[in-house]
Amino acid sequence: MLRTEWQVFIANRRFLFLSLGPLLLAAISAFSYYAANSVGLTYIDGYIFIINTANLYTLLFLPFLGVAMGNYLIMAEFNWQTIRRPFVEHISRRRFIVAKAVVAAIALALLMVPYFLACTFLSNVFFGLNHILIEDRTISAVNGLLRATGAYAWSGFILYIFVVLGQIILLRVHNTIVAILGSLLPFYIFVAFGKQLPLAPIRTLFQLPERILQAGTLNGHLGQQVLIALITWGLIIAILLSIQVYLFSRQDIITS
Amino acid sequence: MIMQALLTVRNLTKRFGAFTALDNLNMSLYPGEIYGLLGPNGAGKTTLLSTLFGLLLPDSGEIHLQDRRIEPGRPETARGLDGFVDTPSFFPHLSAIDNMRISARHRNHQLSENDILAQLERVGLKHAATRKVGGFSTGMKKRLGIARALMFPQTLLILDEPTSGLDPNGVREMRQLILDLKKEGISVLLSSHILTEVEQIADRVGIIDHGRMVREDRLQALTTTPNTYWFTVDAPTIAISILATNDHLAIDRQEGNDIQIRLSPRISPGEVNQLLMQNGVLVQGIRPEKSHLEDIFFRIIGVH
Repeated sequence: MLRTEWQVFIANRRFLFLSLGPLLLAAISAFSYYAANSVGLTYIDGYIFIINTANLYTLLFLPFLGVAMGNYLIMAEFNWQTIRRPFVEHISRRRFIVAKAVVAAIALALLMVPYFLACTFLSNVFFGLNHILIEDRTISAVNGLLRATGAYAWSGFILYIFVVLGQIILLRVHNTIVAILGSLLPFYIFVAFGKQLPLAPIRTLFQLPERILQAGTLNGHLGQQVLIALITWGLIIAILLSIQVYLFSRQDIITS
Repeated sequence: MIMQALLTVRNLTKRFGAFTALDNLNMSLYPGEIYGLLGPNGAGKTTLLSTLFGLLLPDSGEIHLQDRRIEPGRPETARGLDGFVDTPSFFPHLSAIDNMRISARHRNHQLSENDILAQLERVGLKHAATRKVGGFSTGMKKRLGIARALMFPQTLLILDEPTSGLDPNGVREMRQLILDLKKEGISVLLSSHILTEVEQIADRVGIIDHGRMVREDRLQALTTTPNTYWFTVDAPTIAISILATNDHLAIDRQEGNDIQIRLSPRISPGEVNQLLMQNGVLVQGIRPEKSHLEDIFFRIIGVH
């Protein structure tokens, strides 16, 4: 099932263009910051460039791309009427749901990795990646890159929760717009207010990117927070998938 | 000996809101037979087939394939049952052969390219093996759907309107293919609007109307009018005058030398034959009155 999903949805020219498309955004950002630096409008180094462009992408573009891709994995099956096919071929509904969720994760990763690599490359070319100054501390370029990668990857983890939520909504309502809005709206609400939530594990989940970037040292305390966040994330995903399997097992599959 | 049914549907009910699509429906399909499922539009045929595949969840009732119960919403329990509902679906941007490979993978079957091409050839699609399915006509998709089902061992093949979208030659080939499948021991559940098609190949017929199985019988039993026979005689006028005085039969009509006679349970065709012979009328043949499936169908569902 997973290989089929890969062959049908990922290993094609359409997805290649989609995943490489954000590179244009990285290039435009690099040129803009470089020009602003050149005329003295601003001063940013390579590290700040990576953080800013990654932020821009993960807050404005990636949520839409990720949720839309997660939805497309299911909606396309309704449009092609292939939604019936796996079940006629005796594939269980649980396998179908899990395959869709796993491919959504792969798609999200493939939408993130090229962009980040491009940002890193461009930051080195245009601004240089030497020692990095964070407030009153200096860290090495490798340390900085590790932090940026960790924070960026964690943003993807957070977003994935809402990608799965979008898939749940879509399978219930069969309406892409409702599903995208129904998952993006909570995403932005949680990103804005999640850090203030009274529930500590959930709060940690949303605080983690900042903590990774700002921690004095990558020490045991941060490690503990990463562990709490990972367990919380895993539980949320497991609960969402269980809900999805439960609901989908109790609904008719109708294409027209 | 009572043969055990291959597929048994018991008291199947499916509602969509206030609309009852299947209403306590019962049916039985026996091993090795071609079963024609008939019914007007909206009668519940596609709902029944979708429920068999586990796509729709019944409100009540049971489905058994051999000794195994097909669990609602659990398609993995319907192994041994194959085919398609409506038009078979394929990934449009992939070739026919790639779609077939995917199906093989889903069922954990290792099939060589030659195996797949052999099935495509069987349904007349070898020439289109590498073409994207998105460009296929409905008829080609139906053929591909059958080729896909034939790649794997199955006990029951469900075909929903297999001849729709096919040209006359394709219809004939499809009919032959279904008969060949029967020879191979594969049971076929065939849903169709084309009554003449079903009449040519089905062993048994089920007629659904308003979600209920209103008649299910062997085709021969269904199309044979009980106690009504055609007598072919050399002197029809004399024969009619002889028979007119007999209280145990009624003459329905005469067509040339053929006389249609309805018999009461008190007299047999042999006795009528004897009566005519005794009176010097030569009986050249006796055959039971047969109706066309179309007449039976319209009579049963009450449309004229």
